[in-house]
Amino acid sequence: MKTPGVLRYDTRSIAADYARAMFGAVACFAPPVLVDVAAVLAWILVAVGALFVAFGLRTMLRHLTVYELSPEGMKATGPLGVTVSWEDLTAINLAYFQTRPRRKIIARSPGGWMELTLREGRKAVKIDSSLEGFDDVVGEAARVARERGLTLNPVTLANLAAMGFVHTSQDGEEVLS
Amino acid sequence: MIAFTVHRLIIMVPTLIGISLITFIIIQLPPGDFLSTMIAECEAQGESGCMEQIGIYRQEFGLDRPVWQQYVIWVADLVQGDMGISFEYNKPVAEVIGESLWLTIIVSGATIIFTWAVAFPIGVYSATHQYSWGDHGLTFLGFLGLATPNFLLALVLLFLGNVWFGTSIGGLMDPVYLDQPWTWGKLLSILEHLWIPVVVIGTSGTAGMIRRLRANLLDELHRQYVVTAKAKGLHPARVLVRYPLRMALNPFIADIGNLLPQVISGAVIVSVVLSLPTTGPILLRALQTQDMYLAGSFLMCLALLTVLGVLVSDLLLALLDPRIRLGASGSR
Repeated sequence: MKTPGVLRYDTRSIAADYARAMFGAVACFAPPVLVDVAAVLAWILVAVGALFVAFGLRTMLRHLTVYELSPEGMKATGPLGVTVSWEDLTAINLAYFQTRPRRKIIARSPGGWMELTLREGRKAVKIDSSLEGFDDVVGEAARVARERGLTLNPVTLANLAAMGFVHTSQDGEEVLS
Repeated sequence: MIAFTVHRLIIMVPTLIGISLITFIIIQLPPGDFLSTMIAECEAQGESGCMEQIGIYRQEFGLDRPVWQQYVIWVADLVQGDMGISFEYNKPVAEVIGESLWLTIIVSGATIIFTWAVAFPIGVYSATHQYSWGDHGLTFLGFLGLATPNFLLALVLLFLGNVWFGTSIGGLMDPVYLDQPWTWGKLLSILEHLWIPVVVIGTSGTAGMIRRLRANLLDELHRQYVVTAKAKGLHPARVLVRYPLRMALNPFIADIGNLLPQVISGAVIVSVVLSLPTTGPILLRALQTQDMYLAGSFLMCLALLTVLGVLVSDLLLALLDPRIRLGASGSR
């Protein structure tokens, strides 16, 4: 693997998430406060506004968290610090989320992002593709999964293949690179 | 998931603004409006009282102001839960829709349950027994269902329902229960009449759903992981349920985006043919008479439900199958 590194979320993506949280919270809380909105609608807006506030808090936590990729494992240092060691890794899950139509989608384009979950029993580190060095973490996770013979679900396999971490063997079987 | 939900919610804002704008333009496009018709009728009859009423409407709803101001007033009222007044019925829009909305929800709910309950087992059977006699027979029935117009099926079933079961033709309940409060008798009468509109409205959707489920499941069943699981000796039913079926559920979930607006749209043509007291005929009448607030609120509700339905189906799809689908080559 590459040299151990300290990884942080890209400043632009953090700023964009703060802006989204702010915009959503203002758009949801302003109407019930400023005008006479129907009770049902007000409750819906407050509930959705709470979601944006939760998203803002999550963004703040990510802003304050520093990740460390090392030969021993993945360590998150910050308010919700946790360490997952490669030796005890029990599962990896790679999901892809997109908010744009499926035309000409390329992995990690602005219309979508990958989310990697590394599990060690009940502990988990969850990162997404706006983290600098995300590819290295995924590559390392794929290597560990191959060496430890972890069973990966078809969704994770498909996403790993899209990132180029799966190749087809001579007998036609898909294997982790 | 929270990030995905937030992204999708933010996308909804410009979408809804755009839809409200288009809806308003559509209801403003035809020359004249409901009030112009009222004025013409008043002048023809030489009445003065109704001209005062028209004046009140013009002032109250800002109909004498520029179009953009009318749009702002309409949207501001909608945000506050006020859908305006129906000029034709001379009642608030919410009151006009009233009971018909509940009846529409009953019919649509039953139709959705019927569609899923029939399509799911047939789709799974057709895929797991590909090219068997059963598959061919069900495929034939599916194409028949897709090809038959709903209103034609409605007419046939109306006739057969009356001849074989003695069910009164048309309507959603016996005439004695019309405009009566809700009772067990009324509910039972609705249930007795419900099967005809449910079968009529649900048939084409069921047939389409069977085709999509079959195709999706066949795709999954031919994948390598299924072959591997079978080779390892897993029971076929377990192999089927574990992943292929989960993945094949995608069309059901994606369909939620279409189902929600259908719940209140009330299958207009079938409702007219079957004389159903649902919201469909009311919408049709509102569009014909240019009852702008009734038609506009209806269209806006349909659009909102479509957007919400797509949001729900996107969220469920992201939960169920968050895999990348490359239109171009993947990048590392």
